[in-house]
Amino acid sequence: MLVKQIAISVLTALTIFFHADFVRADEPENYHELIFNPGQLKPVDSELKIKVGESAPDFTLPSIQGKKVTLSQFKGSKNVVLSFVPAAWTPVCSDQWPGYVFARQLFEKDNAIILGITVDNIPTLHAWTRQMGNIWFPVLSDFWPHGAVASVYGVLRSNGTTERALIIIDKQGIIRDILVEDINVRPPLDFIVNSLNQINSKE
Amino acid sequence: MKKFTFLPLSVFIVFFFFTGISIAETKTEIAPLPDVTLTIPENKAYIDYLGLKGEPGTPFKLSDIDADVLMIELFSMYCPYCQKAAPAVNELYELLEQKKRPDLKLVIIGIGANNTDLEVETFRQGFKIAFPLFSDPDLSIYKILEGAGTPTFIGCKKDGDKKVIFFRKSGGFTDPPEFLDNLLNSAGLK
Repeated sequence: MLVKQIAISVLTALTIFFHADFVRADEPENYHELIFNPGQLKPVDSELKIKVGESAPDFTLPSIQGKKVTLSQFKGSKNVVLSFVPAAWTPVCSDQWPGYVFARQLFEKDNAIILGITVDNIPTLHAWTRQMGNIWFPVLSDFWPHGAVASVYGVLRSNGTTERALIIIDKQGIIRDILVEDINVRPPLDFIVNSLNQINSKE
Repeated sequence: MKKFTFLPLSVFIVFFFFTGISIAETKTEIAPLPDVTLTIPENKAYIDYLGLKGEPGTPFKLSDIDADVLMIELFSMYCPYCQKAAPAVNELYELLEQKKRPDLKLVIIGIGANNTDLEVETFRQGFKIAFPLFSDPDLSIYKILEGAGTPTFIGCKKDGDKKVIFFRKSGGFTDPPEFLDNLLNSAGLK
């Protein structure tokens, strides 16, 4: 009888314990456990097809917010920061956009919108960005035709992911700054802020 | 009645599991505080808070900070957990201020791991952080202090004429008074 009671007690305890563990898996604290580590990658693996001073190639992509977004819809109203990141659920990317979520005021002060772009599909991007807090900017999927926009810009890597690239476009639709960062490194916020300040100071 | 007799045992086993995890997260061995050099800030209030003697812009060592207990938070502006933990860390700062006595100086600083000055300043302004923050753009300080993700909390205390690390915790916390109790208990100050 005692053995049976102990067995039931242990089973009950384990059930409660693992249930609690499961519940905690939903919380952001365990977000990093879901991240795949690809190791150190070739810093840059593509050739840019755009230049500073040129018109930014227009595109339309679906967003996780539900609407399609066209680059030229911001012409005349907002500076645009294109933020290509290589892939969802990878280490540096998962730390980059949460910073932009937090620094919203800096972008708004400079009358800028971010368009976050990866080659992942919408369901993947939806699940991944849920952990990042209040994503106030459009997150776009360049999934199909795969990497078509990244390819036009020259930031599609040979394995089908994109570079970690920032492209600053002014309200006239002109490319004002480009940073193709080492894929293993997060670009400093300073690059974006300085570029936007420069654009706004010349207006 | 008999069928409920196993419940206390279950509760004990669950408590044992969770307590074990909690201890594992914060347990640390006493280790010397490594040499870390920072720059004395311009802000006079920060200089007074840290008890530093030098001029702004000149270097100082972590061990120069005049504190019986020094809490170092390794954070990043980009880290959602650090963002989530920031209000609780602010509350911890307030609690440390309330606990201060002439013979017990409690100090907290933040070090922005892989953050530039601008990123640290953005974090400071966003959360209205009152204690001093420093940037560590190349992660050199993070590596010397053996950070384990962000946020990491490292407690240091005086040990004779030296300073030692006596407390480490990776991850945020939600109960600042409890966190402070653990810290001061670990420092042998409670």
